[in-house]
Amino acid sequence: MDNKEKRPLSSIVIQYSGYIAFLGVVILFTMKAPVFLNPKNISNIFLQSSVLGIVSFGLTGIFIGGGDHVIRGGTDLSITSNMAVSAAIVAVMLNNGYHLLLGIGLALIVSLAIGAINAFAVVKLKMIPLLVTICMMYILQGVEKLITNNKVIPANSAILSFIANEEILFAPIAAWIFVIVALLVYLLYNSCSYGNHVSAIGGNELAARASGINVSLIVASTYLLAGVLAVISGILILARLSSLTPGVGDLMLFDVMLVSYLGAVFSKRFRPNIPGTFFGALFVGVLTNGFTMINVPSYWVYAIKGALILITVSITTMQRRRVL
Amino acid sequence: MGKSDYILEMLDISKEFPGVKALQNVTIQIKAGEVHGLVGENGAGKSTIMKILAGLYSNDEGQIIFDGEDVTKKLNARTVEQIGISFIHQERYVAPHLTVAEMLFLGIEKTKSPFKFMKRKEMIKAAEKMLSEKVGIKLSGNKLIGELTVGEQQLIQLCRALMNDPKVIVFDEPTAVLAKKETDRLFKIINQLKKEKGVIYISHYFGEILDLCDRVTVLRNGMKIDTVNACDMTINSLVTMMVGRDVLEQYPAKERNAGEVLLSIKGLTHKKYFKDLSFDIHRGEIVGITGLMGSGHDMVGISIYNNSEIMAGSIEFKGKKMTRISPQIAVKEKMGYLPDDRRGLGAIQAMSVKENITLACLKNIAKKGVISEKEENECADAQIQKLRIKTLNRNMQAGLLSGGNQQKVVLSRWLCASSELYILNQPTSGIDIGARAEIYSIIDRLAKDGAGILMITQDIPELYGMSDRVIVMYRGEKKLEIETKGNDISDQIIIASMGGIGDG
Repeated sequence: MDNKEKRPLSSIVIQYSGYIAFLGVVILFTMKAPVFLNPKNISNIFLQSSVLGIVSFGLTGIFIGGGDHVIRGGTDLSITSNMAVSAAIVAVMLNNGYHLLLGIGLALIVSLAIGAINAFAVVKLKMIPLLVTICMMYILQGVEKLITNNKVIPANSAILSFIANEEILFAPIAAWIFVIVALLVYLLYNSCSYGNHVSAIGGNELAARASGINVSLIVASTYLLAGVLAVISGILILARLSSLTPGVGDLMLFDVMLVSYLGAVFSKRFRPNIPGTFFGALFVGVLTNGFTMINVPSYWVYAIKGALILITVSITTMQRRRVL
Repeated sequence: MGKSDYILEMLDISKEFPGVKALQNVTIQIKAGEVHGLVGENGAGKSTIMKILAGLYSNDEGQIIFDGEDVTKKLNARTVEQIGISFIHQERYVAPHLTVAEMLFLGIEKTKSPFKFMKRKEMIKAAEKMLSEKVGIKLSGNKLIGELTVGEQQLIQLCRALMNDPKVIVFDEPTAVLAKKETDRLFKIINQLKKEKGVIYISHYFGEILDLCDRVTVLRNGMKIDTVNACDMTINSLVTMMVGRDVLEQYPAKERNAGEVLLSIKGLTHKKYFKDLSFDIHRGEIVGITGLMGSGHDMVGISIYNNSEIMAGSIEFKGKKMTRISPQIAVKEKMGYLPDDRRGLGAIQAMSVKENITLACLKNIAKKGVISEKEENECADAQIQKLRIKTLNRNMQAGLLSGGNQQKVVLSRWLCASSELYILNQPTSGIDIGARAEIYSIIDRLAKDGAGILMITQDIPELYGMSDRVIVMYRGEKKLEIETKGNDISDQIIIASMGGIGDG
């Protein structure tokens, strides 16, 4: 206990391993391709990470409140399908001549309903989140194909193209939305008593209950919040691509899981957390962008991602064994 | 004595569970300004009456008067703290990755509206102040709970409980997990608290009870025996009150003859749970080992079967020094282990009775790696008959059997493997009386046939009734080793396990 001041170098390296790796990768790319640190490219990375990041905040909240047991802990595998369905609803509504806001409103209602069903199954029926949300994922994949007829749906809207293309302070509005959402979610989880309640539940549900916290309500709220964030990211997808390709959510699911777990190495407590997820999403964005820039086949990105999650899980597992 | 003397009265409380009278007309009265001890064996009703007080169970009969007011109907898990009764549970109700300040103010954070922003600096300062004022420790409010010692975590819970300014605090075996220094610190705090509050203190450690408590209530079999002044009691007299003299179950007569030494253990030291433990087991002998929770006795068996966490000492089995024992080696050397967690570690629930029985002796009935179905069936049937396992047939799923029969299946596994040493961890826990007697006679027969038996149990009558020799452990060390033949030593066993010195 007294050697707190004189920690071995290795433990400090592990403590900041996330940041060190991030910095290392950035330096590597900059040496190979100096344009990498160009403001234009940096804002591009933020733009590319925005959709992934915003969905991942939702999953991270569920991780924080559900504990991170891989099988029994909180998780939501339907989250990216939820995003895709939201985008599909907005796109189809636009094509049928409805106003964008009406489409967003409907998407929000559907998405909240999905979140509520997930939450009900987890909180009231005490079903395992992994199973509940896998089923929900399949249902939503079906719904998405039904309403899109499994075809690419163009989405033309002045507001959407404004969000994607208009720049404020060197960066497109979409990138700023990412930053602002990150900031709001960060404040919610790290500065409000709500966040403290969520972490307490994830750490020891009995302790939280004994402290008079309404556990069911708080856990349910994390699923609902994930639904709202899925809608926001769905809109950003439409804005960036001006269309919806069915199946876009399926490809992203594992990235979202990766980013939410990866967040743990960016924190002192080695647990999923919002700033960590923010850096995690940027990290994935940096890798994709950087490898393209130095002409390394993007296939490498897959291998790197796999290695990353392995390293993350091993570091967090070892750390937690030390602490507890 | 006038009624106003008592801050909390539980009057004539009765509670019945299907088939069991858990409490019969138990009355406990707590004064403000006293530490009131509550003692009794497992199953005596201590935890039932405390769960009624905590509002987790409702009582069938009786009244609970708190501070002059009848609160019988008002008590439930959510209101009990507001009414003014706090509990320090044995379990640690803390979240390891919160900071001290976050945990202390969990649910009652100091916040700024409209979004309930936490005033972190204020919380940290208040937490540090509160901890040093209420429980007298200096801790940084920014430290993670997971980095604290168990004792510090407990004090966080206590501090949290005191923030509600309760009039009665219940401590449920608080020292079982504490080191000596932490125990002393806790006692100092309790003595401070009792100046203005009523304290209920539940413990198996009678030395602590006598040191700390003003009065003690003794429960046995759901009934109150008496409430006595602690200063009039000794450990011996308290034990006699608690155990009574009505323990006579059917145990096989001790007509076993000890043969040569089978297992010899010298100076065995576990990484965490016990140190410098030495004893022998002879063929044909049943050795019982006991202790309170946290005394390390429950880790001795598994450590002989798998010595990977043993730091020092030697294990000699059948005259051969064993340096490394893993379960595989143990099975090969013919040791059998019956785990305490029957459902988790013993019978493989999804497999058939037959497969469970023959699991450890497949080598004998397999030819070149192919299991001979005929021999397997014969082997299983023989065991089912021999141990009278109640199963429809050998192919029934083991998980569907009753607890006693599952236990027999696991026992037969080692019989089938013709084990020479049986390590039995809580062999009858959760098993009804009828099945117990059968298991006792099986164990007796094994010993008569020349096997050595190490039986780990917390059930004193069983320990005394079955064993030829008894070892009592206290906080990781052997406190007493004594022959059971001829003399009634159950008092000595209990006293030794509570830290007193036995006469033997």
